[in-house]
Amino acid sequence: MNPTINLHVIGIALSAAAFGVFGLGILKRQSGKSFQPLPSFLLLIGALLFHLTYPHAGVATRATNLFMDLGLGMVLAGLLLAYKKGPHRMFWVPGALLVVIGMAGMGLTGLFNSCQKWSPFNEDLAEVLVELGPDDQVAEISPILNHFQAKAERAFLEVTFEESEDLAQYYVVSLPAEHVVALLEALNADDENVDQASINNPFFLEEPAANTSIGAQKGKFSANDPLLSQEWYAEKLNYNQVYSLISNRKPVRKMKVGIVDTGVDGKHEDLTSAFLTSPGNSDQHGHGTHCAGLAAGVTNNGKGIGSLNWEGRFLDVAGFPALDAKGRGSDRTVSQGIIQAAKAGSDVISLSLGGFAPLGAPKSQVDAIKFALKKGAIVVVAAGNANQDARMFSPANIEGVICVSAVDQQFNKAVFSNTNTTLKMPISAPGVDMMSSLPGNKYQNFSGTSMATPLVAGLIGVMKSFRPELTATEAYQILTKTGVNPREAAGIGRIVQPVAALGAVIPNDVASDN
Amino acid sequence: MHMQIKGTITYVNLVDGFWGIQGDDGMQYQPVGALPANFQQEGLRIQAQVSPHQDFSIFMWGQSVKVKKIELLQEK
Repeated sequence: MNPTINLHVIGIALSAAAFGVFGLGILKRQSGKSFQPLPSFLLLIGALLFHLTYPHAGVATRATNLFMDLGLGMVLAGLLLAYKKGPHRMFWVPGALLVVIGMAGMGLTGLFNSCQKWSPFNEDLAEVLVELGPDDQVAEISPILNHFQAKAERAFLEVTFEESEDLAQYYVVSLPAEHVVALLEALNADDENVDQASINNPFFLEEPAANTSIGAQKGKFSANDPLLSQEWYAEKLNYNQVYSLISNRKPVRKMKVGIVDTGVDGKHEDLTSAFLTSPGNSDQHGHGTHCAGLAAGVTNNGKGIGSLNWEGRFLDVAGFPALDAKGRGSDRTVSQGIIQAAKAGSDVISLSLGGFAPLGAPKSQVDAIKFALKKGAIVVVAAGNANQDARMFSPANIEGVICVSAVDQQFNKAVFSNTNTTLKMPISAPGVDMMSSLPGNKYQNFSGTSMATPLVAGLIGVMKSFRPELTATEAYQILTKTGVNPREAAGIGRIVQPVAALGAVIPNDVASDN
Repeated sequence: MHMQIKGTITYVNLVDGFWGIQGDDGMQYQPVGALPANFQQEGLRIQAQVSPHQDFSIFMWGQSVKVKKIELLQEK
C-alpha cells in the first residue's frame, strides 16, 4: 500500500472511531446507561492533530484531506449507528456534506496546480530527476507524484528506448520545493519502480552580461588573423608549423565539434562560416563562444583569432545549450546538452563545465556520456579549476572521457588547474590568458581549464579529419605519446603538441591543393 | 541542510571572475549569485550560514552554496 493511502486510512479510522464512540455513547444514554464523552473527544482531537501534522502537503491540501477524512469517518460512524438503530442521521448527513466539500476542494486544488505556470523566478518550486526501471512506466509512480502535487515529464525527449534504455527512462519531476526531500525519500524507497532519484536544481536564462571588447591588431603569423599575435599559446604550440602542415591539405572528412556550454554566437564574424545550425546558436554569457573560437575559430580569414581550423576547412562547430546566462546548469541540462550533441552527429564533444561530485558523477551524466561514446563521439572534458584532483568533479570523473588540465605560459601547471592522478586519460593544454571570441564580434582573454579543453577538442577534431576512424583511445595515445611533460611533475598528464600529433595522423597520400 | 562556515573571501580570476570563500576547513565554497558588495573584498574574514547546492558550471571551483547569512568575523 502506498504512503498516501496509508495516511488517509489512519485519518478516516481516527475520525470514524471518534464519531462512532460518540454515537454509541448517545445510544447508551438513550437506553438509560451512563455516557462518558471523553474518549470520543480525545479521539476527535487526535484526528484533528493528525491532520495538522499531515506531512508533505500545503494548506489547501491539508484542509481538503481533513474534510475528506472527517466526512468519511462521520459517514462510517453514521452507518454503524444505523445498523445499531441509533441516531445515525446527525452523523452521515454532515459527513456526506464534508465529503462533497472535500471533493470540490480536491478538484479546485488540482485545477490550480495544473494552471500554475513554472516560473523561473519562483524559488518555491523544485525539480527532481528520476530514473525508472527498464520495465516501469511513469503511471506506476503517479500515486506518489499526486501526493506531492508533482508533475513529471520525460527528461530527454530526444532519446528513444531503442537508442538508450537508461536515458529513455529519465523523468524530470517538478513540485513545490517544500516537498522535495519527502518526495526523494518516497521515490528512492520505491525499489520496485525507481532506479534512482536526485535533486535537479533548475537554472534559467537571464539578461546577457556586458562584455568588453579588445581592438584587433595586425598579426605576425603566416595566417592573417589580426589577434594571433596576442595568442601566446599559438607561438608556444607552433601554430605556424601546423599551418605549414595543413594549409595545403584537404581533410578526408570535415569534423563536427559540439560545444556543450552557454550556447555559441553563431553570427560571430570569426565563427559564422564554420557554424552549423544547432540549438545553441546564441550565447547570453560568452563562455561557449569563447570555447568555440578556441576549438574552431576560422583561421586565415583576416578576422579575429587563429585556431587550428585553417580557413574553416577542417572543422564545423555547433552549440548545444546546457548552461544559463550565469554559466550555470543542472544535472539534467548538462546531460541533455550531451545527448543533443551526440544525436546531432558531433564527432568531438567539448565540455568546459563541471560540478563538485566527490561521491561520483550523477547517473544521468554517466548515461549521457555512455550514449555519446556509443554514437562514436570523442568526449573531451575540463578537469576543473579548484587545484584539487579531477576525480572530485563531474563529468571529468566519468569513464571514457579525455580529461584536460591547464598549463601556463611557462608550461607549469596553472595554479588553479585540477590535477588528474587517478583518471584514465589525463592530458593538458594552455589555459591561462587565452584570447578568443565573445558574442557581438568581440574578443577577450579568459583563463581556466575551460579554455584548455576546446583547444584539445579542436586538435582532436583536426586529427580525426585526416583519420575519421580515430577512436578516443587512439587519439589519446597519440596526444600523450607526442606530448611533452610539464616543467615539473604535476599529475596533469602531458601537454599536447599539435604539430607532432597531426604529423602522426596525416598520411603522405592525403589529397593536396599543391 | 544549512552549514556554518568560517573562511576568507577571495577573488577567483577564472573566466570572467567571481568572489569565492576559502573555508577554514580547507574547502572552497562558491556562492551561487553574487556576494553583497560590501563583502567583495580580498582577504575579508567572514562567517556564513550556507546550504550546499548541486550544480554544474563553467567555474568548476569548489562546492556551490547558497549563502543564507553572511557576517564579518570578529577575531581577536
